[in-house]
Amino acid sequence: MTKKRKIIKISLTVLLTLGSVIMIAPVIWMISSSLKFEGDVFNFPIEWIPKAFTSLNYEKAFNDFPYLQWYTNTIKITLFNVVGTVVVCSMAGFAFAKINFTGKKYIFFFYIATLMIPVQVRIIPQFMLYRELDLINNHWAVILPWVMFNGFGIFYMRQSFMSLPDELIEAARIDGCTNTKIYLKIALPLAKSSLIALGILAFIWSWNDYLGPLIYLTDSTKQVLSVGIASFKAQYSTNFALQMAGATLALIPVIIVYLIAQKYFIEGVAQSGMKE
Amino acid sequence: MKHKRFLTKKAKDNISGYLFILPTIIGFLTFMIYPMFYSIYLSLMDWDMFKGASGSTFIGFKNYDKVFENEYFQAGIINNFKLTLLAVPLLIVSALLISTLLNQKIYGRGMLRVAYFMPYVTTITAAAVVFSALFHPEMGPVNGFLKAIGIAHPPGWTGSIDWALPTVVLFWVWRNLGYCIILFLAGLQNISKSYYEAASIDGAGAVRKFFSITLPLISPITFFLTITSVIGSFQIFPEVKVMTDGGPGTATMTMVFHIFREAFERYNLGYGSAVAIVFFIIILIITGIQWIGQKKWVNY
Repeated sequence: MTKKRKIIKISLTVLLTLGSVIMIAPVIWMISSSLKFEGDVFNFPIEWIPKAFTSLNYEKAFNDFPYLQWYTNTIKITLFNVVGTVVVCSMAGFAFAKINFTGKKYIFFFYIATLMIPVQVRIIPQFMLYRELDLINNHWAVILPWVMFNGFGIFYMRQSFMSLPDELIEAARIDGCTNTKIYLKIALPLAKSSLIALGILAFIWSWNDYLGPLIYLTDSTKQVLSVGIASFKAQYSTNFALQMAGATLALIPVIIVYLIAQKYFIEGVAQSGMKE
Repeated sequence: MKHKRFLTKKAKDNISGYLFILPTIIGFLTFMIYPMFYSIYLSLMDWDMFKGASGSTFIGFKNYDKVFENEYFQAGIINNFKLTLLAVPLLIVSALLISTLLNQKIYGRGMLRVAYFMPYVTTITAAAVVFSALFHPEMGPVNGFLKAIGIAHPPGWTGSIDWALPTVVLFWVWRNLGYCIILFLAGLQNISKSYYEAASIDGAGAVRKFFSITLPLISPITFFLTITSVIGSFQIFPEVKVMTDGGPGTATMTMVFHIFREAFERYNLGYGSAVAIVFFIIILIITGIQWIGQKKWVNY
């Protein structure tokens, strides 16, 4: 029996490892191709480790495109989005969970109802609004909508604050704490793991955002990585090694962040779904 | 006296409550309510991008008539349904299968979890560029492999009318699989072991346990993932834009792609808004049907 169990355990492990290899193979292939000469990219069978290494593709990527600028823009926008989302959503979530203000139920209901409205319905009027406000080509155009209203984030933070015991909040009120103080000194520290999870989700959303930057940012120097990479493919449709270098440059930072913070990434996603 | 103090507390709560949600109220009005209503208004106008409101005329439902007559919209709506019917079952079933296996006693579960989840964090457009190259009809390694195992005429992937949509589906499933696996795993780990032990005593095998215990108990997660995946698959955009640009022909034209092209490449803002509203109504109907249908198979 135990021997049979061990065989099952080993074969399951092998099977799942094979599956996971298929999942990450595209990424490995991308990195290896980015270091090859164009003529070697499609050699078959695949040379996972290039026979001849070259850094030419990377040099060309940096020289032909404002790559560094795209990096800076993406990092800046993502930073604003992550910090802003966490602050704004936690404030609103706290109010909905622990402050009794008039009309709270109705407002919350409307907020949740907006989860049903797809982004695509709002992009055209938003584009016209930005033109009026002269926000086209301005990074605020892609930061503000994320930060100022994130229905999911508000809901998520409310659920998290709901689980804090009311007795604790009441005790603090009796001691003379204002709502602001309770939020800052009690609620935020206790909801730390939810805040981290939301921050990580905001990071993925912001780093991957494509439609917003594509429409609202038109200057190449204002652009972000996700749109920049796509233009790479359009412009160098035949130079695959160069395309892979461009893709690698966009992916490496996320993958590094992911591998370092994977525990939080995965837990954050697991939590966010469970509470829905 | 007591009454008065109660009022002050209530007033204080009102003030701080509204201050706490103030940024989101502004955001809600600016980025949700205003665009929503403005979209409806725009969809009833023949909008001249260069003259603005003064040069535009009210035309009622004429834009909507055009929507349904438009061949790109017709292709788009059909492709959207095809895409969802291909992608969502493939995604949910494979995620369920892999997460059930990952939940067994195996070696290196943590590392495997990390590997399966990795595609989900990748930048969509960068990964789409990589997929386009991997699935390149003539030179791509995928077809190289297929030829090596004896398939003389492998699919033409993004270059072929029949295969372009399935290629987008494969990419989308690859990228979202990890997300679903993690949610299923979280659900599986919440199932009490005592159910399985009791079933073992009754002599139930692994397959029987899966269908009688696991499947019913994780049905709320399955429902949640199905509903969000259906909405997500309808909204596919970067995948199409980068991999196929809607083509070849209209093979990967979707409703969202149609909105994008009409509004931001041809500047038909009124017409684009009408398509967006129709798109929204279709999503609402589908979600509504799923919501009603859930009672038949979701156990809470």
